[in-house]
Amino acid sequence: MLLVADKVNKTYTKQGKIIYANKNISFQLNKGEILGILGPNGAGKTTLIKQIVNLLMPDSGKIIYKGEDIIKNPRILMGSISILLEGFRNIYPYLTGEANLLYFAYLNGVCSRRAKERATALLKDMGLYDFRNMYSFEYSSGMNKKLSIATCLINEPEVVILDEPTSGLDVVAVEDLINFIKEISNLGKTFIIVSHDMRFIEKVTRRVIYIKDGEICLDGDTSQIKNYRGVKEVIVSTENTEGLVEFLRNNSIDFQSKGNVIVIKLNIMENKELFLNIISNYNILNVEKSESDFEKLFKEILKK
Amino acid sequence: MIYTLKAELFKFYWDIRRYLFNYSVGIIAEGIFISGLYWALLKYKDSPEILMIGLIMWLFAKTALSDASSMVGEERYYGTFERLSTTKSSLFSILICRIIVNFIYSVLRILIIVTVMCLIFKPDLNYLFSKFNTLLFITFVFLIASMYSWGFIVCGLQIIWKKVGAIVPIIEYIFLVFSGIIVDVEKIPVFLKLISNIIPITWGLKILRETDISKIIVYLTFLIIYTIVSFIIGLFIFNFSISHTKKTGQYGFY
Repeated sequence: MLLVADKVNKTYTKQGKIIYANKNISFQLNKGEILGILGPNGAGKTTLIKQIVNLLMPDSGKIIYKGEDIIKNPRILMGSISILLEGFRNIYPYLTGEANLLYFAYLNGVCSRRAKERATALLKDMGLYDFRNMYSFEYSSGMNKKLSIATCLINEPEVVILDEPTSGLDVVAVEDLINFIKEISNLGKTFIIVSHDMRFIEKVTRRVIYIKDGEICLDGDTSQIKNYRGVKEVIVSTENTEGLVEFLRNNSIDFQSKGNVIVIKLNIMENKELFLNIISNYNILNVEKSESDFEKLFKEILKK
Repeated sequence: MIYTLKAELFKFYWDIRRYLFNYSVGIIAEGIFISGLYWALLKYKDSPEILMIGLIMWLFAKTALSDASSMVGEERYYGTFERLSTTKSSLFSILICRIIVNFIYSVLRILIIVTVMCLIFKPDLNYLFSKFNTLLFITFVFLIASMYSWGFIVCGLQIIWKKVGAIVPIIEYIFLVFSGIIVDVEKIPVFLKLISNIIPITWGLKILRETDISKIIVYLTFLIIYTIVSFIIGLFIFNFSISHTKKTGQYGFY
């Protein structure tokens, strides 16, 4: 076991009130795992990851990294775990892209030659190589985010913690990041990713923890959680509402209709022929994918 | 530690490159202030050389006092304080290396100012470099160490109470006025002498003014003990503040 959180509790006092940021948080993480941490604002996600990297001390409980209690031996973490903090708090605006990377490489004990090799490779991977000599305050927010992620990877840490890595990134950059994380993970790196972007978490992680009011209320395999509801949905607009409704009833397919819009609860992947039948025979005007089951699932948890 | 020092030298190079004009203007402004002060005080002082040494000591003290606290303040302002704390280099070693780099810059900066002053006012350089050579060096070493210890005290307090950093200039000017550089300690009212006595520059100047070797030994011993005690206090406050803010969640906040 690479990382163990054992009954971690953290409270803050705000205006005389005690706020429980983390309540009895326990989980284990293996080498090479990609763990997603989800939860609403103020749920205690950032508090948890800050405790993992010793930027915050738990009130009680233990965080064990490679068999060592990080409170007793914080040096075990140094250079081994990198964290991307939320926002642009990871780079210096008056350093160029390359200089930022080299500075963090030297701070992490990487020799000059290796630092330059790593910096060049990461700048290329992140699509920033042509902008390496620009000051980072001249970068767009997406470029800054990519550079921040690169500074976390410059010293090849064993564990990378990313807090909201997709904020400020466009769709293409998010796809690139997903592929990049998967590629690095295949080399044995471990990731903990905190994000509100559920589609990103769904695509990139293999395991998800959902935190609500400081407590873990769900911990499981991403694909298992995805199948929790067991159905997938499509929203169709049709000119032949009556015919389609009859067809769905005859085939015992669950649906909801409102005007010419029908929400069909149908797992398309498992019922391709039925779906093609609908598309070809019922004057379909428009087909939309319903919001991901993942999103729906977490919204339901949130309501409880 | 070598890599940390390399990182800090690298960062300072970029800082200078980006803000060369600001650094140059800073040196000129400081040079005008110190030269003006020296010029104005010349006629009231028996020993212009000790006045010059006092002003040099104050320039170092000023840097030492603000270095650690301004570093912490700046990192918190940029939001990079927490990010730095998660690197392989400990925060303390980063702070020490940044202080070393800033100290090297301060030596160069003060050397430029003193060279210009020497060219303008032509003080007796033999006096500076012969009679007090070793003593001056030892006094300077402990004086600077004690000033950096003060810097750690201020920095530690600033980690808990952010506004402490703002009072650094007040401390700097108290050091200038009450240490015997401008007003002789003997002329300072009794109730203000307590302030004088807790300023290390006061003891540094006492050592340099004194001719009685037994008194020099007493003053120097006091300065050494003072440095060690203030260093321990500085280190304790710094470490306490770090662990306190990690408990309260205020560690990285500006």
